[in-house]
Amino acid sequence: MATQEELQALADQEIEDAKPLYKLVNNERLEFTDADYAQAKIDLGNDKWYDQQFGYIQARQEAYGSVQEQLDMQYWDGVNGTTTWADHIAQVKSDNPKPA
Amino acid sequence: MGLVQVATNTVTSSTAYVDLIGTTTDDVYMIVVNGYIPTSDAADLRARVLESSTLNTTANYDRAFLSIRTDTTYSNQANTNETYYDLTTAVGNSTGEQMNGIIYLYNANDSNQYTYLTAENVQLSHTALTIGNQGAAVFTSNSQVNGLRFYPNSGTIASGTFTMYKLSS
Repeated sequence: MATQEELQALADQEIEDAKPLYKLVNNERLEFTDADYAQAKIDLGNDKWYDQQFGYIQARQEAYGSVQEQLDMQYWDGVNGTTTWADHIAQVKSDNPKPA
Repeated sequence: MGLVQVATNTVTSSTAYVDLIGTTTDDVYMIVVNGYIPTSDAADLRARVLESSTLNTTANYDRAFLSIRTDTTYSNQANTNETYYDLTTAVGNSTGEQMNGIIYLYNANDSNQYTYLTAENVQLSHTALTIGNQGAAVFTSNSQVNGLRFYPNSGTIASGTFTMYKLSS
């Protein structure tokens, strides 16, 4: 897993590679100032860190079946003696692991 | 009550951010975002306040949103003490994918009150999923806000029109 400093270095390089960047202020298109570039690097670095540390939460939320689907799984597991629901939950967690 | 256009920005080529400036009275303001498409697939649209046209990046952005989705029931999108407002959920940029929405701003010009906003938007996500985002947010600082900055969380804005209106009485 990357450190925050390593991710910030990646972000800095990505912004450097993306130059020139432009902004639109009251419909006037202008190139970024040094302050704009500095802020963009901070934002991108923070996003990379957040995604690495907490991205799994959103990913799991989107991967879980709906409540209705999960209740249906549990019903049929009870009827058939299967483990479909538990397997589903385990698969989502496995596919989107929490950072160590 | 009528709408008075205060500012508008039309993005037609790659632009990293858009500033809408002009909340200079104590009226309610309405911002319309039409046809936002990011250059990077699955990019959220974010916003931050401007004070004297200077960006505020402090951790004073609270929000509570509900994403109404066609693939599952819904999901809560709620955070406190963030450094921006997140207004969308992974907007796509393939054919037909974009985001459209309206934001209402309250107390922006009043330096003695927090700035409040309500927002609703509709989008097609990067997986062509229809999502309706409905919610509210508060900038928890007593400050005079004179506008908002819109920017994607990755890449730049490929196209879109951002217009601010004053709701004049």
